[in-house]
Amino acid sequence: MKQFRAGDTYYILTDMQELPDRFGVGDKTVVKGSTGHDHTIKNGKFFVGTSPKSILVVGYVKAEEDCKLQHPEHDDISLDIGIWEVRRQREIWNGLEKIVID
Amino acid sequence: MTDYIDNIKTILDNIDKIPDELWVRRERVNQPLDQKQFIILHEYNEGGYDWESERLELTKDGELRYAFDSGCSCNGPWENLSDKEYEYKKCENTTKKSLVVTLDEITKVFKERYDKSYDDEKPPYPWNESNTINDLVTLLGKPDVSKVFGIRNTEIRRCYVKNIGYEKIKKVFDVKVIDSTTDNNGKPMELFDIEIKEEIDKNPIITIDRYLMVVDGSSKRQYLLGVPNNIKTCHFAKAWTFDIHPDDFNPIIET
Repeated sequence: MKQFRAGDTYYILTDMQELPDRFGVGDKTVVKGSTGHDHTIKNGKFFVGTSPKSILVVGYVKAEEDCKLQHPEHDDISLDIGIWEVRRQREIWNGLEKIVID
Repeated sequence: MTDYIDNIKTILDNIDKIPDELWVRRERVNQPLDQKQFIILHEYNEGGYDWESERLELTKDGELRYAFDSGCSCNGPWENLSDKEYEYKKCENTTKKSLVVTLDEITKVFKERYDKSYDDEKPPYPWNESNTINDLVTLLGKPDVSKVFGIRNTEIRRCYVKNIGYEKIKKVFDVKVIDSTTDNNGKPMELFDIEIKEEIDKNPIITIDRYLMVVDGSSKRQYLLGVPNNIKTCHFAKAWTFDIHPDDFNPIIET
């Protein structure tokens, strides 16, 4: 299971061939950090979607040839062709689980 | 509401002290911002829609912008910036600029919405409990090691930890290290417990919280993330933060 971490997001290569139509039109931006640390995709698209596997799944990246994940503060990461699951990060604060907000 | 406005005044008065890394230019979908525009604050609350967003934006020039929006799952709270038209825009991606406002105008808008929230018998809107703004005010104040773990925003907490020093925090809290190792990129990780003593209604309360210290692969920044108390290893803790079984957690790259 190929996987990598980019800051507070996690990417796992899935064996999915297609995404359901209900996931809508793909976007170039994956995660929009509250302080502007946006993760964007080159040669691919991000589709908002959920997964029964985890509540932290926020969508999927459909990677084409020479696909790269870019971030203003992180090095570029090359993504193999395919569909990647995207997860946010969580933590416990004040006794409750919350999404890591930067 | 008074506290909130006072906090905004404090931020505006200390705008030069906000660390550079919190000022990041943002280019939203459908709304490229010019080079001078930086956004650091936004808030969410829960309502009848999937999401509602109440934002106060601040530019490096000390300019305030206010925006309110809400919507459903077909769009995201970051995509739109509309003011008062959100009811009609909830399923559209619109290109709306936020309003540049003065502090007096902000006070007026907030008061109107605050009063309305009581008229409608809804709970008060979150600006009274604005964690991000409170966190920023804490960061701009005198460093106080006892406030580190009360900061909700992870990035602001990181700046606070940097100002004080991780080693000093460990010493002051007399932390108990549970596990220490390195990640796949050779960056250190540490799992530790802190003991927080409080007094509520004259009753002493002791809480033990477990934290994972991780270092960002690219920026080398040091983050402290809260994790469950039953986790015994750094690897398990980091896997937990992404809801992945530790046996399956093996990132080939970490940036």
